[in-house]
Amino acid sequence: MTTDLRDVLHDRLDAVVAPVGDLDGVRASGRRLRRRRRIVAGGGVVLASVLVIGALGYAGSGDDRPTDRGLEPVGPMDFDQGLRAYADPGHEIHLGGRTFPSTRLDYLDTDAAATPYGVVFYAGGRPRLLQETGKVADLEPDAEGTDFHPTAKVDAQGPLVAYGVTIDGQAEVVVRDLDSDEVVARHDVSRDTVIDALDGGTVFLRTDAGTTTWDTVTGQVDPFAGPKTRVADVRNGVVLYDGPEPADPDTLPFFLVKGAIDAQLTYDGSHVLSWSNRLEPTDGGRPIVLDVKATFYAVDTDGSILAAGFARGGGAVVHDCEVPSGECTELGPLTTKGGDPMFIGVDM
Amino acid sequence: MDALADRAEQDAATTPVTEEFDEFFRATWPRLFRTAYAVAGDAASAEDALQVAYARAYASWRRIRSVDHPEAYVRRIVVNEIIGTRRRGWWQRERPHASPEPPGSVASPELGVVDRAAVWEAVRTLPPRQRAVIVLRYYEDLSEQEIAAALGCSAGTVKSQASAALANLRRRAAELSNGEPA
Repeated sequence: MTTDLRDVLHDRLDAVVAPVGDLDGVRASGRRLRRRRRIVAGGGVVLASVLVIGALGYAGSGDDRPTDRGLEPVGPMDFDQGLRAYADPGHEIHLGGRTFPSTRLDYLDTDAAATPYGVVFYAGGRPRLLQETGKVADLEPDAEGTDFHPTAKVDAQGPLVAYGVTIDGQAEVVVRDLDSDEVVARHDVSRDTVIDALDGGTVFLRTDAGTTTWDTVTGQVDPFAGPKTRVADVRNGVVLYDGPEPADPDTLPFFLVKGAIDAQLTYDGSHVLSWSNRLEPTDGGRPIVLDVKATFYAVDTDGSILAAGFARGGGAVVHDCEVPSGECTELGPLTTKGGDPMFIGVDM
Repeated sequence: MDALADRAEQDAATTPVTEEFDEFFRATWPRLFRTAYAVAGDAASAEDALQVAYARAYASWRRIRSVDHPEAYVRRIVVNEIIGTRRRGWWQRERPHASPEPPGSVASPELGVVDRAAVWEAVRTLPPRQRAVIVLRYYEDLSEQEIAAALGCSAGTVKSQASAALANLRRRAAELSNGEPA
């Protein structure tokens, strides 16, 4: 008798009775994880503080401007080699070559966006920029503190960032030039809008109805894909997407690459970073293999790759890897008291 | 405070989106459990890995719910959880094992005239990464590309791991059939 491996596996495994899954436990763990992602630094206490501030504002206290308490300057940092923004949630945050106790930067979370000019984040529903000087700038002083704060996205082709804001009750997506500190364009949106990407001045916006592109130069808005398609990342004209291929792909001014929803593109759009030290090419070229194998990866603001792997004896070690050489330099240890290492701006 | 926040979120949690997650969980759990069990070798480890993976999926559900195969997302976390990248650390990752036969010499899962129980036992003795490749290929029927995506490696690595695994299976299954100790 010739034994077929497929038959053996099915015979054995199909007979296994799966235990009933603990859905309540999964949901509870998932909620804890989601909270931890939101509040990288401060845990439940910070969440509660934000909620209290928000509640006071909505209660008609006469001053709906969120306080700037807790946004004091933290001293200068060095962003020349990228922000190198990573954290042990609830314990320590590494940023610009410095290490802070989590309580010092308790407003940073994975919804924040690391840019070459600093970290764009929301405090009290209003977008702010933690600058290299260590000071926090209010990007939209006239904005209202609301719950519309889509994750900001950064343009790898220019000094642009896209964020959400509410003014006079209207939700808007704003693209700002961080170099000149001027608003490039504003666009009214519905409150369920998510900013999926920003590339070359084009913003990818998603609602339940699907994804559209907004060209901030011409102001033109075009449909890009239906609701089942998810744009994971866009860099240098390359769109990494999951789900069905966008309609009429030949007419789109982008190079489309199918990939995982939690993957990232390198800044030049040439390679895909996806849970591996091997970055696959998008254009049929050669893969990039990083010197170190790690568990967690993120593209840093200078285009290098941050890699965090668990260390012998506990904790983690973080490396900064150049592309395309793949050469990695150890940045140092990271505690893991709060769980897995996290990168600011990476929420998967 | 965590409990209060948890309660507050729980109260607000019954939405069509979370109901959709619940449906996904119930529909995919049994099959993924079997896959996890095959890769892990024991039920407790399989269940632990699934709990972690589904919790991650729940935390990101609004983002991943519309992708083509949310199951692939969960499967990837499960398999990587089991083969140890997270628990044992990267320095303990399995190194490639020397293949008793040159890569590519075993092109088919036909393992010869051996006892089925011996084949199953041989699968269980494979190194975790090779076992994962075999299970994903011949139980989940994934392509090399899909396995590569799940394991975070290249299709070429999948091919060589599969080749080495099949060679190991042939050898071990034959040994076990002949009554040699495991």
